[in-house]
Amino acid sequence: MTELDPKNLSEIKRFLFGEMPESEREAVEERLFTDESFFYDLMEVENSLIDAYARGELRGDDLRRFEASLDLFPERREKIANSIALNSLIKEEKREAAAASAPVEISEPVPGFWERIAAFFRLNMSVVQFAGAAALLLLVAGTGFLIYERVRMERELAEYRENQRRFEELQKRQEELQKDLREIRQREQNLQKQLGEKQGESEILDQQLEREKSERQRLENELERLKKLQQNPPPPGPRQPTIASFLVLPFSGGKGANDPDNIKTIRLAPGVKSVNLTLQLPKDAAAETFSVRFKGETLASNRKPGTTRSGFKFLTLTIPSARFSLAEDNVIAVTGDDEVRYNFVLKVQK
Amino acid sequence: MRIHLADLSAEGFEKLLQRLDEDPSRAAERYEELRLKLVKFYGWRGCPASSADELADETLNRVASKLEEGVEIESLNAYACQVSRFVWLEFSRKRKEDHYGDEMPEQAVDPVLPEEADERLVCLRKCLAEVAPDDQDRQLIIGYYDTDAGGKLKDARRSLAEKFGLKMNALKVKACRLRSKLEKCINDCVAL
Repeated sequence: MTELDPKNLSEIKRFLFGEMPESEREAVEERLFTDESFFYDLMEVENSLIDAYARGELRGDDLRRFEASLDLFPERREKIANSIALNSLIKEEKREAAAASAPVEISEPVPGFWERIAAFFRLNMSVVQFAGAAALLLLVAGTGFLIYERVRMERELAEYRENQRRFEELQKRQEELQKDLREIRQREQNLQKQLGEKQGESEILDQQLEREKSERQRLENELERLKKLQQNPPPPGPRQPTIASFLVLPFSGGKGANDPDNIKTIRLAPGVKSVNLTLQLPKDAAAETFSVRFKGETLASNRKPGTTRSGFKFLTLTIPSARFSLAEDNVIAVTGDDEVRYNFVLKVQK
Repeated sequence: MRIHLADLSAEGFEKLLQRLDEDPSRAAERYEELRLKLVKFYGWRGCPASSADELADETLNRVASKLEEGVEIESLNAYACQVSRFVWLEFSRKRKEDHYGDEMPEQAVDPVLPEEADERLVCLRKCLAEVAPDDQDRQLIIGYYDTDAGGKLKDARRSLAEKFGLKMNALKVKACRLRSKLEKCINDCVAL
């Protein structure tokens, strides 16, 4: 890192990491335009941070703040890539320079005049002595070269490993981001599905309400007619209903079922004699007709379902309340003519 | 994304250079330095590198136009700073308008993959030959950013400054300018 007093360095880092409030930032910007030395200090600190990050040498608070700043300053990622390239080039150049100077280090110095005279006389040594000296020289040179090669390869290996580690880190980060994206898409799909189901549910309830209203109207008319016929005193207060109506979603079968929320719990008042059920089929239910079985008995065969405006299919049926079990789940199996089966599960309480 | 571009006449540009320095070669140098400051200003505001260059040129055009109109400017650098803020505001507003309704964040920069790293290294070699054609500049940039010296980095840089007969501050300025040019050249080369 560059030589700056800690206060200035801290201010520069806050500026470079995008941590300053606007007014303070503007003051720094004015200074960078008017104070040349300060401008180059900013550049120098930024380059030092980028180089340290590219070499994996940035630690602790600086590392955290630097990484947080990458989203604010998109061009910094390119600067990191450039720093990695520059670092590789510098290392390459140094290796080449070392390789070029290596043979010089092991070769003999150029002899002077008197040394050449002495060498002339030394040539009179025996051939065996000369061959031995040459072999020794070759051995020393060879050993030196092997040592140099080993050091060079170890350095290259370390560099390769470092690059590999950085690449794996980047891949891991990319995978994490892709995973997050998949999760977000899945959540979005689930919400869409729930929204569709709720829409279907609401439409079925509307139709059910309409039917209930017309049924009530019919009963009121009937009552009025009986009153008139019998000329009896007004009927007693409101009676307990004997029919309970519920809307049920499939618990299993078809796409997207097996949702624990789809197990319906219903509470039956003491006077309820029968239960009116509306079974909402999934939107992707393709069958034209359906059969319904409950506790080993076929309640309906080849029944054509009703359809809401949004295309949800539904079946309505009435089951005597006494047939429901309180001790265990009540499973109503609906099977389409395409052999797809939907189970509607009810827990009944009294 | 483009903002309104000011027209720049040859006369306006000439006035800007004269205002920077009476000596033409020094004026060109000062112009380059002011432009570098502007590019960095926009980069430090979070502007992508490609747009930062365009905005820096636009700022210089507007300053030159004002000089041509005869507007009194006390400090050219301080004035450029003020103009750059307006240009940045216009750019940010335009960017917001263009992205209105977008719920997705801006495209993140992809990680550098090994193939791209190789390509960048090839570009770096090519750019080094362009930006630092003489051996001295090449040695300076390689020597300055060679950090193998570790704790003795300052000593290594001092030796480098002595070698080139420069003061430490001048060495830093030269290294920063060279690196900036080199990076721009590499980015353009990789984008091709």
